[in-house]
Amino acid sequence: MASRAGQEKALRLLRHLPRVALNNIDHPNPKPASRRKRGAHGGDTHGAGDKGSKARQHFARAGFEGGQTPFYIRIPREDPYKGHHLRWEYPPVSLHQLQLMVDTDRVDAGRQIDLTQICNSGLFRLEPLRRQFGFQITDEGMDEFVTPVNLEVQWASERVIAAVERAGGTITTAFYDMASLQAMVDPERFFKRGVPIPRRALPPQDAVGYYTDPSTRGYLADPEQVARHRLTLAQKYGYELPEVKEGPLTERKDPRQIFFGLEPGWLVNLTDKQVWRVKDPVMSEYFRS
Amino acid sequence: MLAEELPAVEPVDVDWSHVERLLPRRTVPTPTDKAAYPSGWTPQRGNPSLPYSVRRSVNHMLPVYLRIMEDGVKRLTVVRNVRGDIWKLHDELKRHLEETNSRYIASRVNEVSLYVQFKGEYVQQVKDWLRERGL
Repeated sequence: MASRAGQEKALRLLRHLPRVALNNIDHPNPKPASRRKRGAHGGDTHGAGDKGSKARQHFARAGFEGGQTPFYIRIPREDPYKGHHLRWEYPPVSLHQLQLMVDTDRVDAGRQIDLTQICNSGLFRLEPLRRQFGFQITDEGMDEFVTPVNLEVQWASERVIAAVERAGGTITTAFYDMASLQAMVDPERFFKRGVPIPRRALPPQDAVGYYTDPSTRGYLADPEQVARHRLTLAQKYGYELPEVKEGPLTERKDPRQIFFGLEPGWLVNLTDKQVWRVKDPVMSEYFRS
Repeated sequence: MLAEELPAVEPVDVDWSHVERLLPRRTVPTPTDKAAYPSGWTPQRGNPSLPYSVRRSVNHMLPVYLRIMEDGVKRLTVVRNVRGDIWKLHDELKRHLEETNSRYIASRVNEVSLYVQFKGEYVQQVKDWLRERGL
């Protein structure tokens, strides 16, 4: 036990000393400072030992394991991009974001909100060439979602469907092939190309099940089945299913159509504000089928 | 392709509003007044009694952001575009955050770039505090 005077002296000293840190105390150092092999004591063989191929810089190739099958040959290859064209992405749009867009008038809730309308808001971007095949609606903000909307997305979970229908709206899941997507993502750019509006393709084999299923509100499903599923979903989640009047909330596209009011095969001229179609009966038959 | 080889076309009488609907807006729309905003967003009402204000972003959102640095370890709440008496806003907001969270919160004021920083994740609390004041 130090004396009173000693303690006071120590405290006075402490005021002037630097703060204790790693650079002013003795502590174990796992990485000692490297010392180059130079000068009188580092010279002669400079750390290479006596003779041998290592002293003469004649090393074996990198990865050589003395004859044992090396790691880079033993382990099989893995193609990083194998099947990447089959891994389709659906960038998310949350219900909160959707409600915010409706509140701030970035999107028109009076008409159908589809892929084009979400892209046109300027807040979301879809890149079909990066395997992005549409939007999916996520359930973040589903408790505060109260606006009746007519939604058309590419994927939605059961909870999201329930949230949209509880608010008095409708939701459909629809498929768009690559050519249709490129037209939908930027219609202005597409019209300027001078290419007729494409005829939407049907979904591929592994997606047909999803888009013909009424429980996922597929666009190819039977409307009567869809109505029945709306009722059962309301019972499952325990809400009163509001009546949806015929009008903007129920407008639907034809399975071969990508734009409302415009048929496949039509050519839109933005400068002259004119729409053209082909006279040839075979071509118009194809587009109308 | 020669003109004779191109297929013959005829004009179609179509409601041009269907095409106009597909074209995007060139500017960000000014939100119209509504009875309620379910998403929690509120328009800027303004508060002349306060010596400071906060300018909304181009998209009419509050300029409160979370900066995540050092691989998720360091989190900073930033309030940008503070106009008027920036120190007053800093003092009042800091007092409110420290009371709400019952802890000391390190902060920083940049008078040149007009921002206030708080060490920690308080974006929602700051936004609520700003909304209460109509900013």
